[in-house]
Amino acid sequence: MRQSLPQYLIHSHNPQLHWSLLPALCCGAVGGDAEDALDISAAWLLFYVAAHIFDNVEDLDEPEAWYADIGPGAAINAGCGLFFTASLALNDLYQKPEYHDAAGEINRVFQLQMMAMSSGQHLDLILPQINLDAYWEIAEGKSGAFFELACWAGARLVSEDNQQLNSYKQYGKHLGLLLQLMDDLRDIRPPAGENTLPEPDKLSHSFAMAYAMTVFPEAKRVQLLDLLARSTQNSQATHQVLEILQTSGIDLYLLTEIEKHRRLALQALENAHPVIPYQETLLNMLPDLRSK
Amino acid sequence: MTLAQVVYNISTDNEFARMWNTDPEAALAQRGLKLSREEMAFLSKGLQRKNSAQGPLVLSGSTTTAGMSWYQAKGDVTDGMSWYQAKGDATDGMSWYQ
Repeated sequence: MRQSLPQYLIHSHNPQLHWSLLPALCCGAVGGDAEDALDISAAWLLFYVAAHIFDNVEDLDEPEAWYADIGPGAAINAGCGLFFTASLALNDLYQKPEYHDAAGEINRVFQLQMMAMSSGQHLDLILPQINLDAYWEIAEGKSGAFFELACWAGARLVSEDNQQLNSYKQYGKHLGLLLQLMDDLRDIRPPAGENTLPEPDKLSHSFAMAYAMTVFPEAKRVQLLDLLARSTQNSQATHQVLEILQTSGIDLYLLTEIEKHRRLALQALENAHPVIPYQETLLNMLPDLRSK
Repeated sequence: MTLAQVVYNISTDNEFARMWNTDPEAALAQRGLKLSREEMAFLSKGLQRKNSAQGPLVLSGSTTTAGMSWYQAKGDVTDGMSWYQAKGDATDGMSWYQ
């Protein structure tokens, strides 16, 4: 499977897999052969899926269909298998002598970033309530660092230009933060066409509560936390939490942050001077927010 | 997190919002707040989006309606955004490298 995954990624029409092509795209964007970075893409994807499994189990999320019957222990085991398969995929980079030095550095940085992501996840697990500083620290430690890694590693395979590499890192970081923000929003919103309320534990670690804990005066924070505590038993309390957040400028904060990270990603991409056609592809990967 | 504080003031303090509309820098100075030029630009763009009456906002191929709430928007700004559950993504229909 490990050997055939890179080719599968190229030919896949599954949009869920497109992000994993970032290493290959960034390798092409600095003038390298994008296919040479497909092992990094494969490793990145395998690490992601492993992290996703661990995250689901740690957060006590509803089990996904594939492990609903076999249980979370077996899911963790599968995640460990993917983790080590990803490490093996990175070792394949050593097969080409011209990439030997880059392979060493990429392997090392992958391990360091995975450790940093574990710290981000740990912070997310142990803090009962977060403010915006903690929210962005966790987001940068998880999605920001992981997408930064994808873009840096692909470019690093053929480039040693630190300024250029830093631009790809910045592009990846802001792309990752945008996606994290959107993912967080998806966690607390009802699916289209439904009217369900968010789970209180999802809401408590959302950007919306982090915003409230940062900008609200103390009395209003206490009121909100009290309502949130009661919302596990009382849907009316959840409605009140949403109402308070709604009237506090959360829409504007969300739109401003989306604008900020999109602009910073665009700026980083401009500084990186990617070659055609990769410039356009990387540009198109940024979530767009525009008026029809 | 001054940016968030300014957003909060604009949204909950009518006097500050009025001042912001006429002279943002004076409004900030009066409350002892400071934003970088870059943050001012992000916030102005955010306000423009929020107040936009130009029709639905589009995020990566999906729609939400301008002026709807962050929580209640249907069909929604996150569609296509989670890399894991992306749909209608910007890369749809493209070859892997284009």
